[in-house]
Amino acid sequence: MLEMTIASLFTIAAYWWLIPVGVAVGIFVGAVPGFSSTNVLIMLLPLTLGMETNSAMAFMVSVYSGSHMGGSIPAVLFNVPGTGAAAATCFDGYPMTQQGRGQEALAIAFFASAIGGLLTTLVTWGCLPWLSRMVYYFGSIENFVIILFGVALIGQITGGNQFKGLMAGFFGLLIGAIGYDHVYSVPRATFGIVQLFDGVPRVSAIVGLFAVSEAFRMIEKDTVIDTSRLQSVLQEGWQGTLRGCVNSIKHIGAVVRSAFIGFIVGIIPGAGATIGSFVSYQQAMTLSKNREEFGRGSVEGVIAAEAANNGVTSGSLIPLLTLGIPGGGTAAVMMIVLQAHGVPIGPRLFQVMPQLAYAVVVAMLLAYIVMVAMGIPLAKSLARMSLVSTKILVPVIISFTLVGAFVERRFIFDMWLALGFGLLGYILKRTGYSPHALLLGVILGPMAEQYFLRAILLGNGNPMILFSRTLANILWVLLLCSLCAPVIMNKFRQKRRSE
Amino acid sequence: MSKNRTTWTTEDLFIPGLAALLAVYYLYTVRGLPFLAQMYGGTLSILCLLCFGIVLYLYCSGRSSSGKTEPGNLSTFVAKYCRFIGLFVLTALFIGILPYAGYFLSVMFLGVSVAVWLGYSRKVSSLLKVGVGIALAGFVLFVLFLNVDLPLDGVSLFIKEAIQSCWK
Repeated sequence: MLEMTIASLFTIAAYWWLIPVGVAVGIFVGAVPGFSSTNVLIMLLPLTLGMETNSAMAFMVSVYSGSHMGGSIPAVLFNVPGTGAAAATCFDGYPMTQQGRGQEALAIAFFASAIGGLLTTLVTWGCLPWLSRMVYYFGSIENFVIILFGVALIGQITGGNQFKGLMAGFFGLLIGAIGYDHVYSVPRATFGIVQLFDGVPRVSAIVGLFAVSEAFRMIEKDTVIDTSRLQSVLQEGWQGTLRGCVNSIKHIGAVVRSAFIGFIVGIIPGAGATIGSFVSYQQAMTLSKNREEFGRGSVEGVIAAEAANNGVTSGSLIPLLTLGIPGGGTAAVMMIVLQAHGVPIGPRLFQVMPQLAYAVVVAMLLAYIVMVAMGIPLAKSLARMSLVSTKILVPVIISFTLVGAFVERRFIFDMWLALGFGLLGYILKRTGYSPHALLLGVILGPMAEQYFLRAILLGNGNPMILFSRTLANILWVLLLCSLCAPVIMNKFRQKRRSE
Repeated sequence: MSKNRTTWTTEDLFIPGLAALLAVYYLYTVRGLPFLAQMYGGTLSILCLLCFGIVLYLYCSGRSSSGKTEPGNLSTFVAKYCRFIGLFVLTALFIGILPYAGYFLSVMFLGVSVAVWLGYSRKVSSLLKVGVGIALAGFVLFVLFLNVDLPLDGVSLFIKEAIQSCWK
């Protein structure tokens, strides 16, 4: 392992410049809502297919890592997540910007992203062959329970009225059920619209519920920041960035915990960074001594979301490199490039070409180091964007993010859908319902149904199949604990306060 | 259920009402299908209908105990939300004209019209700067850099081809 790592370092030295370029492209693309590393890597396929294998993989993992950091920029500054995984960052990052602490929030997000990713990549490097065995144990039943972890969050993350949160979550799950059934291929609730046969596109939902609806709300104020804080933001130098870094170091335990939650979720193919960041956020809220600060600009809230979504990127390398199983869209694009270069796909990849696997991990390590050096100094200049008048910001956000909705399938219909979700998101926010809960339902619903139906078919229609495997039963117990823990801890805290 | 004894207003009925409508339509479209195809979405539909029933009950019991009725006034509603309604209409127009006018002109229209609607400036030069600036930034980012296949007008196509031929 050590010899292969040293050999990788010498190989990477020949094309070292691809890593900072990839990180910069990733940050830039991740900051545009609706775009993701998957879209960009598909567009850059002609470029990566023409590169040498190691250099192409180094470039792609750099873009992948950078995009998760970039997604936090609009999430913190404008309450518009650049990627689905950054939706949880909005909870506390945006209130910090409104309080004039945008620079600090960005520094915390960048620090947590980079350090969280760095630590989990080191674990990947050290434990690659052993961690790969974990993937074999996760089938449809286990994946269904993992998705339920995300669904169970719906009522807990809303902060205010839990019943309204559940209502929005059920509505989101129902919207996610629109489209062809996974088993019988019959269209359900598609209104006869062909573009809905594959279901509601997630990008349109994210863009509409957050970007467009936030643009509709922004017109009520002249700037994103409270007017009372404008002067302090204008006069602030590097203090915000330093404060952010110091606060992140003070909460290093939260960084490590959140990163590893994301890492474990990332190992499971198909789970995704969105689940990782929300699960991590919910765990941080449960375990925090300052629970009431969550949703109002809590440092721990930003750390939990950002460290987790970069922990997922490292974890997702394990099934890809050791078993040839892509965990998501970006990993699937990497697989295409590997196949085109004649690399054997599947479990033989790690057996035949372990040096490629270690080269990719080393490239990711270097990408995270570059992210620290590149990202943190940017916090100060990026935070100034929140000073721009909303009269300019609103058309920029609308025109840019609607293109993000268009890019995935090239249908103008998806833009109309994003506008519809924008209207829905605006009404949700006005009436006290949670757009985050609805989004979780839209994203997790199709996945939950797919794994549920597969599990039921495996059991020939017997629902007890869901409780037939040891790992699945352990996950059910953990799910139950996760649901009961906030209630028990709340009662425990109340008892302590009364004493 | 809410622990905070929320007072449920007419506005609170909108989202559960929408969910209930979708639930009814969903159940209508899955009638006659095998049980497995109905099970997941059917359960969710029933849950949504149940939640709507609960919210309706809470709303009605809140109204009957307080004895108050909320005044419904369209002009008050329009006055309160007129900026939002205007922005929504302008965004819809932007999407509507995009396939015909192309990305550059549509974004210019959106930038200028939103700036006018929100009262940014009355000077034509300032408004044109905003419109052209936003359109140019989007054009460079999406069309030239990211090569997104957006509908383009004649001028944008010409610029794109000119830049691509210089690049070659």
